[in-house]
Amino acid sequence: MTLAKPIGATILLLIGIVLSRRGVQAEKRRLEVLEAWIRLLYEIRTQIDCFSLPIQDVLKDTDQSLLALLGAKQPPTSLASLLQASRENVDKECARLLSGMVKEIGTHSRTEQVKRCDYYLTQLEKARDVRRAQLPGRIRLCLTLHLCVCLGSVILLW
Amino acid sequence: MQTTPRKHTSCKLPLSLQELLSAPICEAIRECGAPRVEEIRLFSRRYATVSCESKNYRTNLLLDEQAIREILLRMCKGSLYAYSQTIHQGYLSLSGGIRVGVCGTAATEENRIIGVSSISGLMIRIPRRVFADASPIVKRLSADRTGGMLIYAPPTVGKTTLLRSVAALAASSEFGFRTVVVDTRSELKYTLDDTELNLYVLDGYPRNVGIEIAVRSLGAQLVICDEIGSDEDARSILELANCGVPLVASTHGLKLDLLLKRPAFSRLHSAKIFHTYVGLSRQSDRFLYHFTSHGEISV
Repeated sequence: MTLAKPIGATILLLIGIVLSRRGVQAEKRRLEVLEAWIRLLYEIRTQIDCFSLPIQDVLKDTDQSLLALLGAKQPPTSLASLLQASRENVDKECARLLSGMVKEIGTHSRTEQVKRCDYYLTQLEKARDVRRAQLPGRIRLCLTLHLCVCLGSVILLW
Repeated sequence: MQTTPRKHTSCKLPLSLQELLSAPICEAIRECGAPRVEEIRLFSRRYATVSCESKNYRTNLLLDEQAIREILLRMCKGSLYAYSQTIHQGYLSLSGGIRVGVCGTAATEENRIIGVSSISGLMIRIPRRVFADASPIVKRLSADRTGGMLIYAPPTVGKTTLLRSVAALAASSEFGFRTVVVDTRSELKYTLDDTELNLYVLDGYPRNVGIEIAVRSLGAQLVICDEIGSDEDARSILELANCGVPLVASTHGLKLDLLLKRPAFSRLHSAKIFHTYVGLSRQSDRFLYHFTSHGEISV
């Protein structure tokens, strides 16, 4: 038996392991980014409620490590640019909610703004709780799917 | 109308304003033929105009309500709620002392404005860097440390510019007043950033609250505020009359005798709050003062 088959099989299995790891990391990252958005929205709500601080100033004063988690490579000047930076790590439903929030922040009175922040916080926290509950299942699915596909390929090609 | 802001380096406007107005607007202002830009009037569905030395220059700029609103939103740093209080009072203060008048449709409740919608116009006033020699005023204050001063003049003469100079000189090591500036409209604080000044600025505080804080909590030896005139202002100034802290304030007024006929000022005059009245006028960039002491007036 040549070494090509065992080497090929090893490579395929390694690819499977790498892909499944990346899949698991992507799932965890999506949850992290969602939690970061929730923390940021709490911060925005507090600053609006207590000080009526403009959004640009809130973003300037926000912890840069939180903004980096959301994908900002430099201090963002608007929520829209921050959403753009984190888009690949946000699922469709959360992206819809965040787009709505980004459009509405800054265009209402302080009281109304705080109420809208509360609404989006509730919706995002619901989405986060669902995602958290689904995470173990998604991780298992990721691992199983990639490894099984690679194992199946090895068997077929052997 | 494209309103995405871009820097337009050939425009004779402050850089901060160029970043708020779009390139086509800056271009239109540059091309209107005005030698200098003192005021920019933006209208919804009317041609924008530029004013310089009481002359108006029409531009080719026709904006719609959406464009005006976008400009206002940029001026509010994307957050109308942060400026709703001042917008209800009809103005916005930008960095560099730029003042913006806001015009729209008011929603009122019990004679109080609770919201402004359909923004139909903005009037942008660009301050000129004019030096006001405040030494005649501060020397008088120094000689009479309990006597307040009221500066009166018609609009756009330079009362705010003069108050800034008074604050800077009074709080300097030369005169050494522990000065508190009650900057209700956030217009006085610009140019008061010298590290040597013995000065607090109560930025955005309502006048009555600011005056009380200045005297009771900040140990002021001199309080400075702009544009007094209401009964509420008079009431809070009278309440603090016994503290012995002089107040330097400004108000709109052309003639002193007419000014003192107004109820608020009549009360302040009777209580001898202001020992000196200063009529302000301008001859090009030179400030001219006309001093009247309290004793010279009979009301």
